Amino acid sequence: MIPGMERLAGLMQLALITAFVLALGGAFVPGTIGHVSGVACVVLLISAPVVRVGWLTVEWARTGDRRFAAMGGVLLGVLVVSGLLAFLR
Amino acid sequence: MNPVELAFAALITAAVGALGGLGGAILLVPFLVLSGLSAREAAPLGLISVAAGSLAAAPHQLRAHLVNHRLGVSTEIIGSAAALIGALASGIIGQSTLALMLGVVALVAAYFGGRRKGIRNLPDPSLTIDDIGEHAGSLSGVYQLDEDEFVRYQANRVPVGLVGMATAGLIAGLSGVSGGFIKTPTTSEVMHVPVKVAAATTTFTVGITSAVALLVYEAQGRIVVSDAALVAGAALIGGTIGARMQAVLPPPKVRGALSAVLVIIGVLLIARNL
Repeated sequence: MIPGMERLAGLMQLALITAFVLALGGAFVPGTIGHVSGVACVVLLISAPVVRVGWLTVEWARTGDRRFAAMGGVLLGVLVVSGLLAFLR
Repeated sequence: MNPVELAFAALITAAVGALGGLGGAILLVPFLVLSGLSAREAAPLGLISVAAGSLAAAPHQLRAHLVNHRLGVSTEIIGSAAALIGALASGIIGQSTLALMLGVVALVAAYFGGRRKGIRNLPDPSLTIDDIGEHAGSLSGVYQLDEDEFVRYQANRVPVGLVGMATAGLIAGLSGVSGGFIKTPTTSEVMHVPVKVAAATTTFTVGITSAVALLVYEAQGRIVVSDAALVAGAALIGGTIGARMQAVLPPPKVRGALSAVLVIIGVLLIARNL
């Protein structure tokens, strides 16, 4: 396996376990701690695919696959614009 | 619906959806609407389930080289843009229109789920385990079909495929179902990518689509954190169970049963909202 992809798989594994723990906190812990845990779970679920695209974009740029690094950059741009449009509207 | 019922529904739909390769939200969202939740409230919970399912599958799919990331990223540009438009528009569309649309979506999903084909690309004996993975600079690659069988593939008819991705993104943003029931058949039947790679690539891209739509839903104040956490936890467990059960139960038979359930859900939703 490509070393970078192994690291990405490990990162996603960590995100998966963390999301599960945070989800349990959000669902079963009462009060502010539970709420913060739930919000963190949602933030993690939203940010995990964005981090994955960012990682791939950097990996492709590093290995000279410029065409797809540019595609990754455009997709990240769409994601940033989506976030800005959603919260500034 | 009480929290126990919600968690149970999210777990079962995520497991069955992962098992059939359609994703859990296509069952969860119509089920929640039929249980009394409004389509506007059900959509964010559906996308939480999608995002959780995508994350649950990621480590295994990355290690198995099943995802063609270059294809996913290229097609997701238009998919995410369409999801953004759909999510923004969903805030101004009426409840019964959304529920009706959901009914039609369930019937379309039933049709695509029922007719999906098996293996299209045949193994190439000249390939070895060292060849598996996607190819740099192109939308092609090799995947492992069996222990000693490897298949070469190349994505074709990308512009037509992009139309399918845009449609899937729009539906995801509007209704909260993943759009995977359109993406996987489009990637497989239109672009001629093997079903296994198409399904894995779709699982990757629906995570991105759901992230875009969830941002909009969050800005609209439509995410109830405690319910979202409950659905996320249950979907993470259900998705993992479903993916493991794929090895035991034949996916085509499961998809057939799922299609029958979706037809019933679709007809009920349309009949109640006409």
